[in-house]
Amino acid sequence: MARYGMVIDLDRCTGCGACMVACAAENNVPPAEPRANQRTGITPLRVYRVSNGESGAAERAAFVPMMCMHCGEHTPCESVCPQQAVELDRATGIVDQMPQRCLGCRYCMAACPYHARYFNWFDPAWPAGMERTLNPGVAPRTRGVVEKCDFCHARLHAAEERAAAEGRNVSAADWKPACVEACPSQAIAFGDLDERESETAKLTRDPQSFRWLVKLHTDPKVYYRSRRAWVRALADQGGAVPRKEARNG
Amino acid sequence: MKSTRRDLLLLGGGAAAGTLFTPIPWKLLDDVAIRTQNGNWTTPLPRGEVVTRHSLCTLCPSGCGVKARCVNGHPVGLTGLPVHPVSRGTLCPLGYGAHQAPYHPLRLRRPLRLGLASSLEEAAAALAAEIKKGPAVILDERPGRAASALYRRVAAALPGVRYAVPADSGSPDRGVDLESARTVLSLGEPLLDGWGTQGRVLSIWKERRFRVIQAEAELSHTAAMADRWLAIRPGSQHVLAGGLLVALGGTDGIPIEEAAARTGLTPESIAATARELREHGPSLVIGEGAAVAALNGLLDAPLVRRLPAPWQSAEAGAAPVSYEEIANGSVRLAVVDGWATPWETIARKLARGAVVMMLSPFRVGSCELADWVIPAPAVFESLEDALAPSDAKELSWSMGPAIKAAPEGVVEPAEFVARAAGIEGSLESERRRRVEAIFASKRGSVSAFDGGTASAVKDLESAEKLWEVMTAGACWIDDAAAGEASHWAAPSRLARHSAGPVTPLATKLHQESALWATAAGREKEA
Repeated sequence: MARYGMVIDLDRCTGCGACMVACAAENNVPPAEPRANQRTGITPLRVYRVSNGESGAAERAAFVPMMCMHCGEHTPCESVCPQQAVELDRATGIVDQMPQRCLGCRYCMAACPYHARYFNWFDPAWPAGMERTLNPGVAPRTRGVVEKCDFCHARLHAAEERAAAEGRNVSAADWKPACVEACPSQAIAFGDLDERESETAKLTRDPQSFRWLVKLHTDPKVYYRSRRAWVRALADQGGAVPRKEARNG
Repeated sequence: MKSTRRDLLLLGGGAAAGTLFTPIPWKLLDDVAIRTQNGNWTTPLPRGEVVTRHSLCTLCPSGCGVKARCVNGHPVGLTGLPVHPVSRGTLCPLGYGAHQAPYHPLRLRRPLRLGLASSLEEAAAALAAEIKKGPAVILDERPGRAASALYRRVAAALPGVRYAVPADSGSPDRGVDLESARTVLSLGEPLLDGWGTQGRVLSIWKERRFRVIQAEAELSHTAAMADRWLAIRPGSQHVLAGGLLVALGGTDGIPIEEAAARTGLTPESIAATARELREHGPSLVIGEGAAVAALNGLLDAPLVRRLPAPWQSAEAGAAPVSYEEIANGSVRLAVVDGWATPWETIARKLARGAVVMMLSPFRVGSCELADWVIPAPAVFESLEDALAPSDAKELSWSMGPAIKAAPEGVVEPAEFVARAAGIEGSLESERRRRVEAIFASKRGSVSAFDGGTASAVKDLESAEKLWEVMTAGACWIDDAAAGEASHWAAPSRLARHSAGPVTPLATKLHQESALWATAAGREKEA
């Protein structure tokens, strides 16, 4: 039994987007459909730029990678899915999404307080030949189903197989999601939050660590940390306004 | 008992309602969902043995080490290569999607003449006729490679042909010891979002080895993450550099009061910045202009002069000139290896009726306007090599093997030009010459990409052994002591990503978030 989670250091995230590209490549997310926008595109992990609300020289900004928070209790998406396409795996703490069961009703998207779920509005399509570069461990999703971050579940499966071949149980040291691996400033720590002495679990207890919208009692397993008080203050406001949306009015 | 129509309706309604309490409709729904997502109309996934290969990412001149998972001879996933001593296991955002670049919709597969299909024979004949007429220039967008040595050989052999490099190219004998810096003042440069080898710079920054002061009008990514952001007026970076020069006791600067008035800062802020640079050294200033070089001199900045490359004397060829230094309107033939040079930059140097031939994997940017476009191998399609980026302290040279086959009709640009010009030479001979020179010098060590530990060159038994190691994927890094520190304005943009085709995945960064994949994109928006 494990409870996998992340701690993202917002003081190290420069918003370079390497995690987004690595996530999309790992999970066979197709290239952007020309008609897609920030609402209809697929970004299981999306980096938002947030501001302290000031202007001029007093303005400050931070970059917040947002993905499925893998809620531990009252998981909103799981409880509303009529197809049992969403399941909180008690053995790993990962909220799994099974697109094969999904009917595309999008109840889960409406229920998710973190806007971390994406609906496939378009048929997945790759330029000719590019399908040869798809990750063989992840099935592409079709039009009409919802998808989201699953902590690169295919990597967990591969690690479980390797561990089983060696006659032991898989541990957090055996695998990590693509975004964790890709971050050039190593802003994302990943591990088993139940291993109290692990570096990741220790970071969750840091006074500068926080979670988004804890007032909803969803027990997210993705933590953030920042030494900047204004960034931590955003956590309960849900007020992370992406600059592009603000610009678009 | 007589059945009525009402009974039939009741039976039908009751059966329909009752069915909802059985698994039938739910199982049907489930099956429909599963079958519609698993039919032969869905995208097939590659099947086959997964093997790990190592190579270099050549999307930009930095040449970061790459570990690729491959299936059926095609890379299906990339990560950084920790044993690469320069890129330190990191890749930039574009690098993580580099394996998809060869399949870009704008990929070139045959030569084009004025946008129409042509043949390699016609292109070679045209090049052979034009290059001997002169004056011609070969513009190499990624200088320092073995291909560059071949271009230089061509330029040396033919009168009227010059070998040029982009104006913002670094110099192989100059490096930046970023690891030693404690404070970096960036005058509007994208230090944390695209300066130098992005992954490498970020990996040093995350260790909190240096503080960042960003002087810029806009709250850029670097400004947002800087320890201090100096919100100056647009275009006043050089004024701030002049003011700091005076504050640090230098000459030829700008009085602090005047600098404050022109930058929008207070005199106290300029003085405090100067104090911080002096007290929290070694400090480095990055930006453009003579004042930046003077600042680095005053601050004894960690800029190093590397020893000459071991192969320098063995490579007889034309000396590189900056493309900007070529007289406007003087070139009758421009051969451009790459696609990123803006058309305005190329066109400024052209004489009336000049011919432009570009050698590029993609039909993008200036290729749209060139007379000839010759298809070149894309990333991972050929044996590649890369010189150390200028943001690294030591001199290094990496080689990475091809990890997928190039499509038919693609030619190695330098060999194509040399052949058309009638010059003997090949990339292999140039690379062998470098390997033999490294072996003869006994300098440095070699890190093999397949996980082997670094071996000192002097411990290797033969140049042939070194050649084997290098062609399988390895990085040679110099261990010779750096020469005397000298001071220059650290190149403002050491290894900018091309403005050409970013991988289709990376376009998601543009389209679906508030981020830009490249510093160039950010500037375009600004």
